[in-house]
Order: sequence, then structure tokens, then C-alpha cells
Amino acid sequence: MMNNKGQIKIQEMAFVLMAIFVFFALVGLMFISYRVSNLREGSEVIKEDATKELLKNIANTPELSWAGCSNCIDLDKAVVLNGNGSSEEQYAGLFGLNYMKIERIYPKREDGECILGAYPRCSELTLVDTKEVKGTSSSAFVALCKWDGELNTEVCELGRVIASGSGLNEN
Amino acid sequence: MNNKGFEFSFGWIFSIIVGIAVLALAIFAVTSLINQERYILDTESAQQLEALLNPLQTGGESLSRPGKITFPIESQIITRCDSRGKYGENTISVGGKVSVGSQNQEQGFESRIEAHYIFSEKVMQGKEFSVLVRPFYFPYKVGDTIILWTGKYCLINPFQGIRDNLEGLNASGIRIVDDVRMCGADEKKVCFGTDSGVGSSFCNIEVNGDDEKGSVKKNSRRVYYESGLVYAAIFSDVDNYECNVKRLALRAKSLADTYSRKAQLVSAQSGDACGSSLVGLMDNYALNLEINGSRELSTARILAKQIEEVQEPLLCSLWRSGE
Repeated sequence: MMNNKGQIKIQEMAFVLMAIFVFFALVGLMFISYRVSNLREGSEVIKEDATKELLKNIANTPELSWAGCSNCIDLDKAVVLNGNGSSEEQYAGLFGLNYMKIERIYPKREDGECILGAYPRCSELTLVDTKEVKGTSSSAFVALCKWDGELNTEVCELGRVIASGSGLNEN
Repeated sequence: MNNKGFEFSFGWIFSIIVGIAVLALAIFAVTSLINQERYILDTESAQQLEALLNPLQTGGESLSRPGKITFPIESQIITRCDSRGKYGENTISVGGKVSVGSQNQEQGFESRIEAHYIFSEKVMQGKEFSVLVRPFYFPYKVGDTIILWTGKYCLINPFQGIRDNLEGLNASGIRIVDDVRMCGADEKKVCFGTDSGVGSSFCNIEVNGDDEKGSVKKNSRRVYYESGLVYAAIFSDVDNYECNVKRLALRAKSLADTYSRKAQLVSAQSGDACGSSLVGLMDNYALNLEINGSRELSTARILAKQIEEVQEPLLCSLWRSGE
């Protein structure tokens, strides 16, 4: 009789301890999932901020800057960088982006990618496309300038840069 | 007579063992969580630092912009440089100081930077860090050099160009004096010129040459500078400087190729008036930019000046000249 009572007490205690353990494990799991979702949001915010800051300065990077004015993109250089359209990943690290496209908005041009053979009868240049999952993209209007060989002068047109930031770099 | 004593039943033993196990697990979980949180915080700090460095880029202008980055707690910034790959890269990581004890915690996730050139000591510790940004022209703009330092520097009799530049900018942590005796004990002493009258034993860093070119000696090692890299040479660790100079040369080489192809494109559209004379020069220049160290910068500099002379009178300038 005494033995049975003791066994029941032990079982009760074991169940209580198990319940406490499971309770704390559940609380821990909830906390971790909350932190992970917060972290993801934080990472997206940082990426978005970085992309916006980069967009402000993209026209000043030596690879794209135009000699005549600050914040103007050199269309000739951009076309050279675009090469034959196969350079979509090599500038990803340099620009810190996983996607970047330049669109020629006004005057309106014929549709098509601006590669050396098609230029200047083209409407867009995809300088970076890593084919990874793209985050929130940002865009900024810019002046696209080039040397006009027929007029022998500089001409500028309205364009837009669309970009999305790359993720945290993997080690 | 009580012979019963203290009865240590199975129930007690069981609850003590399980209790200890639960407590140990809880302590382990909390410790891991705290470490994880610190790691996250440091990684965020490094990412934010990278984002902060972005707008510090100069535009087309040649002005430096001094600034200050302040962390909420004393932190350690570790910068690394790797010159392998197409452009090489700098990595930057941040670790906050643990409040209990004086040991620094493990660094957060490294943030990789390809577009910037961070010239600094390998390990810097402090709450406030000073930043100076200088564009590097060779002869076109290659990139922005970001000079990062902490602590105090005492510049003894610097070259006139450096004096004018730094006095105008009021850069923090830098003091310009005319005599070594005016430097504080906690300041790093930077001596300029062999005729400064200061014994080299007093100097932590020795600069010889002028504003544009020369050499910097620190920790018994010498590096060479050209075209405004003097600040980078003074404030940077020797290995970091040499590595970043190689990275700058890689970028300059890639840009030389871009300008050569742009010159071909433009001259095909407009005839000889624009840039065709530059194509051969740029290709030769690109070959000369395969350098192994700062000592070889001077050879490339001669070619850069020749290219600049050819480019300047062109109707359609390929790049904007600096300084």
C-alpha cells in the first residue's frame, strides 16, 4: 500500500516536471520564431535602406558616371559594360545589388536590350541580374547622357534606374 | 533515542536529478540565446556601418568629407582586405564589448564591401570612429578611399597641402603642431619630411615626399603613395594599405578597359575627333596597372599623366578630371 502511494507521487512529480519542461520549450520556440521574423524584417529594412542609398549614388560610381554633370549616367559606358548582355552577374558585388536595370524613358525608343550591336536603337540595359530571389525593388529617375556623333555634342535624355539589394553575404 | 535519521527516498533523488537537468538546460538555453542576440546585434551594426559608408561617397568633386561614427557601447571594428578576384574586397565586422569583465566578445557576421576601399588599422577599438573620404583619381576617378581611424594623431609640421586640407576640414582626432613637444603622450606622432628636426625615435609614423607622392614608414615598414593616397598611407595598417592599393589598381585596370571600349564606340560614331587616339594608350595603361605593391604606382602614374594630356583637349571628354 505504502509502495503504491510512493509510486503515484513519483509519477505525479514526473508529469509536473515534464509539463514544466514542455511549457518552457514552447515559450522558447515562440520567442525564437518571433525573433527570426523580426530579424528577417530588420534585414529587409537594412537591404532596402542600402539600396536606396546606393541608388542616390549610383550615377557617381566611376563605372557609370558622366563627365558633364554629377548624378548623370553615361549611357555609352553603360552600354559598354552591358557588352553582349552576358555581364549580368559580374557587377553584382561591385554595385551591391542583385538586380539593376536602366530604362530609357523619354524620348521613347524601340524596345530591346541595349547591347553593342543594337545601340542606340534600344530601350533598356540589364546590368545586374543574379537570378536570385529579388527583394523589394527601388527606382530613381536619372539623366542618361551620351555623345551624339551626328550632332557632335552631348545629349541627355530621361531614364530610370530600377534596383534591388543583395542579401546578407554568405561566408 | 531516535535512530530514524534523515530518510533520502527515491522521490527526493529523482526530483533532484531531474531538477538539476532542467535547470542546466534552462541556463544553457539562456546563455546561447544571449550569445545569439549579441551576434545578431553585431551583425546588424556591421551592416548598418556598411550602409553608413555608402552615402559617404564623394560625388564628382574632389572634396573630402570628414565624419564621425559613434557606437552606443565600446566596440571593436575589424577590417580585412583581400585583393583576389575581379575587384577584391574589404570585409568589416563589429563586436561590442561585454559589460561583465573586459573580454571582447566574438565578432558578428562579416559584411563584404567590393566598391569601397577602407584604409584603417586591422583592429580598432573605441566608441567613436573618425572617417575621412577622398576620391582617388588615376587619372580618371577610380573610387573613394574611406579612411577610418580611432584615437588621437599629432601631425608635426605637415606639408602645406595637408595642413590646408585638414585645418579647413576640422577633422576630429587630428591635431596639427609645429613642434614634437606640443604632442600629447597619448597621441600618435606623425613626422613630415627628413628635415623636420625631429629624431625618428620620437615618431610613430614618418612621411617623406610631398602632397602628391612620397613614402610613409611605420613599424619599420615603408609604403609608397601617389595622387592623394597620403592620408590612406598614414592611417592604414601596412598590409591593409598594400592590399587596397592592389584593389584600386584592379578597378583602374577594369575602368581603363571600359574607357578604351567607350573611346572605340564614340569614335566609330563621330570620327577621329573623339577618342580614337586614346584606345592604344588605354590598352597599354591597363597592362601597366597589373601591380604587386605601392612601389609600382609611380610607373603607372607617369602613363596616367600622358593619358590625361591626350584626353584633356578632346571635344568629347571621356571622363571628368579630378582635383
